[in-house]
Amino acid sequence: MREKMKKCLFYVLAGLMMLATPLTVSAEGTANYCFGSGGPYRKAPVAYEVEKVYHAVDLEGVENLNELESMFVTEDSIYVATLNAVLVLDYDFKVKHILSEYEDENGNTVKINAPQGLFVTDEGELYVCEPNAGHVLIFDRNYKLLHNYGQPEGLDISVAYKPSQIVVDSLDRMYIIASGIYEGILEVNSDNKFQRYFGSTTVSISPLEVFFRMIATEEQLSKQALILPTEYSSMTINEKGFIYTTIRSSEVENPIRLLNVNGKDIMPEDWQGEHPMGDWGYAIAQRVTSESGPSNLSYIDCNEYGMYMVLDRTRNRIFTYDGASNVLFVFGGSGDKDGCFRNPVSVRWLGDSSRVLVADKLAQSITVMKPTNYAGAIIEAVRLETEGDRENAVVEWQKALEMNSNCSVAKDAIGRELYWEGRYKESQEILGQIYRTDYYSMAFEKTREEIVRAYAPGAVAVLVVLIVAVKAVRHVRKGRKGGDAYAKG
Amino acid sequence: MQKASSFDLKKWLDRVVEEGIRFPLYMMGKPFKAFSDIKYEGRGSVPACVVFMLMLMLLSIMRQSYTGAVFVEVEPRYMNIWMVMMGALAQTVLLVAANWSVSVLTNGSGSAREIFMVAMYAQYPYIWLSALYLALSHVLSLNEAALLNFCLALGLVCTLFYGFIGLVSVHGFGFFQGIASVVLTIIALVIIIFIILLLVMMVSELGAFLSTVWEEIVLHYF
Repeated sequence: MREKMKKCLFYVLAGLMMLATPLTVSAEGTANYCFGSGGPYRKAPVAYEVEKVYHAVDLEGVENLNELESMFVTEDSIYVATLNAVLVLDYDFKVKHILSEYEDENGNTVKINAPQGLFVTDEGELYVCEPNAGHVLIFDRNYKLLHNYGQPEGLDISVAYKPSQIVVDSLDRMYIIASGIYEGILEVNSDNKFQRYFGSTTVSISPLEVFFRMIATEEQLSKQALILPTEYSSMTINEKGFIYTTIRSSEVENPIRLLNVNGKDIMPEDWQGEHPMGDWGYAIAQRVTSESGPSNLSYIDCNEYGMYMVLDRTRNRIFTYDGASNVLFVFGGSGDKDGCFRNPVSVRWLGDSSRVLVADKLAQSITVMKPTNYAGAIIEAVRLETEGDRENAVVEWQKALEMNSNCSVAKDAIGRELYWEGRYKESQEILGQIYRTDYYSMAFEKTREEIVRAYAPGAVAVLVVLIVAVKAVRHVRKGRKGGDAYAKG
Repeated sequence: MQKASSFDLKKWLDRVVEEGIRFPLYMMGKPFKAFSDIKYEGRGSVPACVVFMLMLMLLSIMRQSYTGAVFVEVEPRYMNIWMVMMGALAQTVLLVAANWSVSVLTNGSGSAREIFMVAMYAQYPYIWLSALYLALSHVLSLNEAALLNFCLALGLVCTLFYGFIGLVSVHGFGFFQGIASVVLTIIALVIIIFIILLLVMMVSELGAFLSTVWEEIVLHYF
């Protein structure tokens, strides 16, 4: 019955949302919402708007942007992998170099062939994954080939080696995602010797499945799908050497992982105990849009404030998180208009200005998006918080809250700051709105203490007086009774 | 005139204290005796049990809307007051129905009235403990949550304990018969819920069918 009512409610809500959508849809994207306590999908202001969309014609000397696969951004350049070239652009999209062919060890000229993952080290060495050719190319600053690394030494695999994503840490160790390899990320040292599988994912099989597999015949088993661990779909490394990864699967409960040097997932849960996973109220979203199912995370990028954003291929949305796994804002969406995407394949932060690059494979374009005042305030707040400047961060959070009264991250941050400032009453009020019980409870302890301090002495005094009074009255009565008895006797 | 004077407030209050406090306390002290008193000497009263039921319903609502903010489980603004009340009522009604239907089959001698009274008196400590929970939730912090959980756990244990004793004495069962009866009751409960669900779905299907027919008729002839 309850389920039924819920269902009805969902339908009504979905209907209302459909009615409301055409009226409130904004110029930029469709995914303008945030997550609040007690239910996802609170409306939020637009977070990012389009600054400029670049197609091949906007880039001098570039014929096409076929098969955009990935991008990489360094301090002064943008590297873009297309079908037959790696483009090097500056921040204004002026072409600096087009790497379409290189000279191999034997002096032959070889064309770049469908590159995928790119990485550029601080020294300016460019790593290019070419899955079809089965090798990783390393170029120096002047785009001269340094190494051509095929299958790493000591790696024993039965499938063809197809490196698709790469990151390189400060010790020049390469972390490579190769398709068809389920054991984990390959950790390869700088002279192409295989070290170990890194951040291995495990499969989880339910007891029921185990039981059915036990009683199944060989023939039945051969017709069943193999249960394989999930593959990582993308990764990025932050300046401390931690690797952010995404997993393109709905079955794992933590599809966004932060791997430490041991390959252990240290991604924090948010304060409600939820793993970051893109959309989590997708059952409702299903009725609103035609796509269904959980987010299919295919790309991740982090910035120096501990923020990271993930690209969801199910609904072409981009989710931005802070270091504590709170969703800060969502933008993007499916569609043809600016600010929506048809097949986004890669997202990257563009330097310090907190602009975002989105590469769209189907539209063959690269979109530069800039934060609105709302997202700008949030990003600034997170930046100030990472720098330890909490007072100014709260000012920014306040701005964000003024623009979006649903913004529970802002309420959370403000409430906690009020607590640390010792303004417990106000802290309680704002934290109570979002049911952040842990800090609420701490603030409550303090206010309770104040109340006890204020009233306890009085209460004790009254109690003492009462007891004394009762005793005295009894004593007097007894005395009188005794007196009476004596008088009678 | 005569009738008004026949209402004796003092007597009425005495009765309330007797039924609402003294007898339940006696039950908690000597459960076997008290439950056989209910059965053989007509002690305990149905009106008191109905009042307990109402208190349980009220408490289940208050637990959702007035628990201290530190211990909120469900956001009050998403609460459906009727659903919560019906939930509390349905729990008891289903249990009584299931147990009664089982006892009829297994030669248990308790009547539905007695089973209902057992169910209510067994929950008597739980009523007060959840009221205590409600009050304490406003003065305790998360660090002291263990106390609150203890309240509820104690309430549950008491309910199960007295409920089992009540069942055994009302039906005249032995220990193992009592256990079997509890297991059967659970099975009966599942069956009842299944049938109710089935019925609800069938009726809604029927409704959908009838409304489709009506629509067709309207579209065709008018």
